[in-house]
Amino acid sequence: MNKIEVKNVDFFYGNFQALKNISLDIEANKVVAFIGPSGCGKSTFIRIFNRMNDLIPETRLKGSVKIDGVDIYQKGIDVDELRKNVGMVFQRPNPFPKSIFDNVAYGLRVNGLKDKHFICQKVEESLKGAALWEEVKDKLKESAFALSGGQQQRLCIARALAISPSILLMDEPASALDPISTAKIEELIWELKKTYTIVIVTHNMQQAARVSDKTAYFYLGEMIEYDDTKIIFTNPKKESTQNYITGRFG
Amino acid sequence: MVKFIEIERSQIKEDVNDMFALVIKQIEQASTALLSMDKGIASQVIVFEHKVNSFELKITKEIEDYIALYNPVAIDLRFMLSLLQMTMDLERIGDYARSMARFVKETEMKELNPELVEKTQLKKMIQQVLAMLKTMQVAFTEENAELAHTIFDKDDLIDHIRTLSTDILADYMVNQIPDTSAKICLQLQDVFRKLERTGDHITNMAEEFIFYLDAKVLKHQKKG
Repeated sequence: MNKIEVKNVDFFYGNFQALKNISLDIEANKVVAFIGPSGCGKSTFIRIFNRMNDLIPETRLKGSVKIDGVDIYQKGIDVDELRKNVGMVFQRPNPFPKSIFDNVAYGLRVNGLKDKHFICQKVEESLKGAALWEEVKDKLKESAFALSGGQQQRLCIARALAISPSILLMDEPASALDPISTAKIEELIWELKKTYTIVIVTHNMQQAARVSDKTAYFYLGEMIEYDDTKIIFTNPKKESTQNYITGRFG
Repeated sequence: MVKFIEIERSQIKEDVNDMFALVIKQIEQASTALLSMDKGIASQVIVFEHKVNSFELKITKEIEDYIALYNPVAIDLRFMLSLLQMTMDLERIGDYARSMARFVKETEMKELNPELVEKTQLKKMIQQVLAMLKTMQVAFTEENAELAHTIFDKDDLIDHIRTLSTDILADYMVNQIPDTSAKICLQLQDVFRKLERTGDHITNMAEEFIFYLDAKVLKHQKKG
C-alpha cells in the first residue's frame, strides 16, 4: 500500500483555485520532490498532507487525501494526531526562544509526557537522528538561538522527529542555508528516508535531482508530470517540464 | 534559457562544426593524396593534423566548463554528452586521415595499380565515406535526426567493400602481380581498414546525435 494517496484534489483559496485535479501516490520511505515556478501550488499542496491549510480562512478542498489508507479529510479525524504523524520543517529555521533541549522536548511535553528519563532519551535520539547530537551534546541548556542557521534547521528537524512522525514535510528546508549546511541537510534527508517518508518542496533543481526518488513538476496549479527523478532530469515526457528544468521556461 | 548560456552553447556547437569541416577536408585531402600518390598533399594533411587535435582539446575543455558551471539536464545534458563523443570520433577520423597520408608519404610506390583500384572499389569506398561524413555534418547543423538515421545504411556498403578488398588483395599477394608487392598489399589493406573504421566512427556520431535529439540509445542495436 502507498503511504500517501491523493485522488482528484482541487483546492481553493476563496474563489481562486490553487490546485487542479491532482492525483499522485507516494510510496513509504521515498523522497518526493515538488518543483515548479513560484505560485504554481507546490507549497499549497505539501500543506495539504498535514492540513496546515485549514488554518487559512475560506479555503476548501475537494477530492481525497489518504495516509496509510485513511482519508485525512474525513469527518472525525483528529488533526493534532495527524500533525504528530506528519511533521513539518519550514524554509527558515524557527526554533523557539528556549534551550536546545527544551526545543526538542517541546512537542513531547505539549503532548502530556512527563517521564524525564523518556524525554531525555527521546531528545538524544532525535538530535542524533537529525545529525546534530555531536555538535550540541555539551550545551543542551544553551539557547537555540546560539546555533548557526544550519544547526538551527537541523534542530527544527530534531524537534519534528521527537514526536515520532512517519512522514516529514520540508518546505524549501535549505533555501536559507550556506552550501555546507545545505549538504548536511541533504545528507540527512538521505539518512532519514530509511525511517520516514519525505516530501520536499524546493526551488533548487539540483537539490531535487540529488535527494529525491521521484519528482513532481507543478505549473499553474496543475501537476504536469510526476515520474522517477532520473527520468525527469534526463528525459522528461512533457515539453513544459523540459523547458522548466533546462531554464527555458517563460 | 539564460541568454549567455545559450550563447555559450551555440559557441561550442560552432566549434564542433568547424572541427567537422576541418576533418572532412583532411579526409578529402588524404584521399586525393592516396589516389594520386601525391606526397605534397600528404605532407599538408600531416601538418594539419595538429589542428584537429587542438580542436579536440579546446572543445573538451569548453564542454567540461559548461557542465561544471551550468549543470545542464535533460536535452542540454544529452547535447553536451553527444558533443563530447562526437569530438572524440572526429579526432579519431583525423588520425585515420593522417595514417593514410603517412602511407602515401612513406611508400616507394609511384602510383596505385589502376586495375587494383578498380577491382577493390577504393574510389567508391572513399566517396561513400565522404558522403557519410558530409551527410552527418548537415544532420548536425540542422539538428535533423531523420537524416542522421540514413547514415546506418550507408555504412553497410563500406563494410561490404572492405570485406571484398581482403580477398582481392590476398589474391594479388599470392599471384605476385608486378608493382604490387606483398608489403604494398598489406599497407593497402590497412588503408581499407582505416576507411572502414572511419565509417564506424561516423555511425557512432549518428548514434550520439540521435541520442541527443530523441533520447534513444541505439548503441549495440540493429539499426535497420
